[in-house]
Amino acid sequence: MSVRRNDAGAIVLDGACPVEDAEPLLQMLQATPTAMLDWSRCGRLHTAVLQVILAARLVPAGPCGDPWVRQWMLPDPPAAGAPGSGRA
Amino acid sequence: MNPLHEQFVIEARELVHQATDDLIALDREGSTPERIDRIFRAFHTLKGSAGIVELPAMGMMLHAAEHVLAAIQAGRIDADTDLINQGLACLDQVSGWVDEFEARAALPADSAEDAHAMAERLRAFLPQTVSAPEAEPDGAANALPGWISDLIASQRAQIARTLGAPAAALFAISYEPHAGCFFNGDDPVGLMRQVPDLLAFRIEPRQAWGGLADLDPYACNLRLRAIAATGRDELARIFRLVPDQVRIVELPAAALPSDSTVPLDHTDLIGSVVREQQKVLEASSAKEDFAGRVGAAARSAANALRSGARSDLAEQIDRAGAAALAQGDPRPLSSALETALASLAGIPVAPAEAGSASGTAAAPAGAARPALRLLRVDEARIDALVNLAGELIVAKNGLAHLARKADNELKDHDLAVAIKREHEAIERLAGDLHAAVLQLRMVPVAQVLRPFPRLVRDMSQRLDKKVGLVMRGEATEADKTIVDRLFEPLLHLVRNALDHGVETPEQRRAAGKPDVASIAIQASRIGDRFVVEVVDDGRGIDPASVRRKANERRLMTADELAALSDEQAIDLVFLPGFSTAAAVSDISGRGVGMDAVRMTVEQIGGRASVTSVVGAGTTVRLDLPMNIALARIMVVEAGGQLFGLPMDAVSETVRLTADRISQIKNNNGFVWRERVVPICSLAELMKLPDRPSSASAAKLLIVAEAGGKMAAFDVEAIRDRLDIVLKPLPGLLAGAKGYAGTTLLGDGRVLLVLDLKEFLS
Repeated sequence: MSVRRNDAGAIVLDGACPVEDAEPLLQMLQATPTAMLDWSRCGRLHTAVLQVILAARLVPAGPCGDPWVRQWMLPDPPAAGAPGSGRA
Repeated sequence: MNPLHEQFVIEARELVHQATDDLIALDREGSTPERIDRIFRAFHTLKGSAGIVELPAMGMMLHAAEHVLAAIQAGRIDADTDLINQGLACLDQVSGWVDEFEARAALPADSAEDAHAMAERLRAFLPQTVSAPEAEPDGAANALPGWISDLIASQRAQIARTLGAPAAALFAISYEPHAGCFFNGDDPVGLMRQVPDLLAFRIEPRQAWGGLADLDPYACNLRLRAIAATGRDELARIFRLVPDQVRIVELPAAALPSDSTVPLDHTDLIGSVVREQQKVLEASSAKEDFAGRVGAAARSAANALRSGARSDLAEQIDRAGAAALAQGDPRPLSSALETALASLAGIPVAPAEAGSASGTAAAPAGAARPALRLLRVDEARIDALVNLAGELIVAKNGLAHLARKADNELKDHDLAVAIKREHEAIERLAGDLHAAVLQLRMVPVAQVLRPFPRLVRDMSQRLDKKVGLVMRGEATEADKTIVDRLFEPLLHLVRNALDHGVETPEQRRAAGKPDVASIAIQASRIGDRFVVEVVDDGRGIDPASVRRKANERRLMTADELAALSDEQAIDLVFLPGFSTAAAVSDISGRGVGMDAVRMTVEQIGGRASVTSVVGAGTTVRLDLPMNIALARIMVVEAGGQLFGLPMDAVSETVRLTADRISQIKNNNGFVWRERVVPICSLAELMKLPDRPSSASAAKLLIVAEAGGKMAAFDVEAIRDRLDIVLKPLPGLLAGAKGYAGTTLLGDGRVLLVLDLKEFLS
């Protein structure tokens, strides 16, 4: 399973997260709604997993390990990583 | 059948019921946007479920129905009776297929043809000029659909970042995956990942997120929207498996602002969307698409404003849009758009309610939907629990016996008191437990009333009568067995009311009544009784005609009939073989209805009665127990043995001195409440030796009434009143007359419970 909780209590997504990961992730978030979610090392995220993250309305820590999600789903403006869009 | 299929069957039936109810309400009470929305959603969900369990024929038919509903929603066509009939026929087809699917896990072989034929019939209602909704108008005059301008506005930064050389073709994609798509193995974002030359992408919830606690991780509540510089063929290939969930709209190159490399001020952008909607409103004054245009313009403008965190203005636009629709005049909306633009530009306008408006807008979204948590449990498990709780009640009766024994035989008064105290505590708990368990079996009567709106509608059409069905107290609860058994009697009664009670519109007009007759099914709880009445305002039952019929059918002699009061005469309709209809119709009037009603109702411990006023209508009243699992009995002694008498038959107990008893013919009798009541000795009836009692001693009598007959039973003593679980006589004894069943007494003895009705008749 690619969803786990580390010793510091943060929820870590590690590697590709298939549809089955949605439920354990939701359970962890239900138990600790304010826990930090680290998705910097995740691989391809399934829609169901993304849905849980969206529904939890949390901003995960670090750049997303799934490049497509990083490019298309991060809050904007300013778009993350876009040249020239830094805070002026 | 796998759990997914089971779920589908349950859900599909519920949706069919709900859509049927709403369609009938649409027919009877007229069209409201909410009602059309609900029907649309039910069809839409059905279609989605059909897709999940892979029933393409059903999906195709429902898709056609959805088009028609969308046209109604947009105000392009009206929901007339023909259309509603067709909608109901479509639901019938679904219902039939669901039954078939449950039985055989597949649709019948000819389902595709049936689906096709039904889809054609449904499509015939669509105006010829309207093409299928997928082909969204591409013309610039019509402006862009609201969701596209909205998408462009909100993803401006993305577009600015991604738009390189001017693209040859631009397409906007709106993908609303089915809620169950994950079970299909779909990964909607995964499909989007395959789209080359993506320019903008947005993912959002279809319905605002509730709390995490209520989230179903496997129900997709997402809407994915994108703009891509990709050919239509390529997009069609990517989304080939979900064509029913995807809309692809070609965009003119000019749709994306040419200066998009220079990020615009967000407010400007919203302003331009709002201005765009003003154009939409001004573009055409054609009546036929008025509702659609106003609705779309209001939605687009409100969405754009919300995306710019101006939900206060969005609220005003929503209200103005509703007002414009209601008045059939676009002016309220265009002036609201004007106001919003001014406000965006920083000109202060009527800020009075802005704050409160945004407050109220936030409230419904924030208020957590009260979660009604339901558990489906097999009925047999509940019944096992009911039986156990019943046994506990019986077992606890043993403690009372033990207490008496301690007192009488062991002469230990303290122990007896202690046992009694424990007995009381356990009695209370066992009673609570039993009541709580019985509560599990309580279901609202609405369950059984569901088919009636449809039945009444169909039957009244066939009979050319106009009838409005009113249902009251649908939420009243009673034991499931009783509610389930109620369907047949109610069906008979409603058919009778329609066929015999309600007159034709001409007859009604002649009698000075409104054309539309009323039939009411009303359920209520009166004390511990559950009362269901079927009331019509039809022609009523004429006692003279009932007497004549009863005579013709040789049910009673003319003398007997003449002796009956009018109320008693009307009651004859419950006699076997009685039918008041002059002609036997295919709806009712086979003469089996009313006696079957009374029989069924009496089997579950109820009573059926009828009152009627000629010319004003008829009321049939079914007076039922709330539950049947526990019976109250009175334990009496006769001939030295104990017998149980059901309390619902016992009217009174009286002690009579010998001088009040008179000899009538060969029987003893007495006058009680102005009626002569025969007395019979229970011991004699049970063929037991009568205990000699001194002639002067007062007699103890149990006055019982059942089936309209009355008698008094002479007993030696009354021992107890008990709540018992009545067990029917088993095996060879099952056919024995006069016994309702048996129960165990506290001391382990078997008590025979008598069926007083048998004795009385």
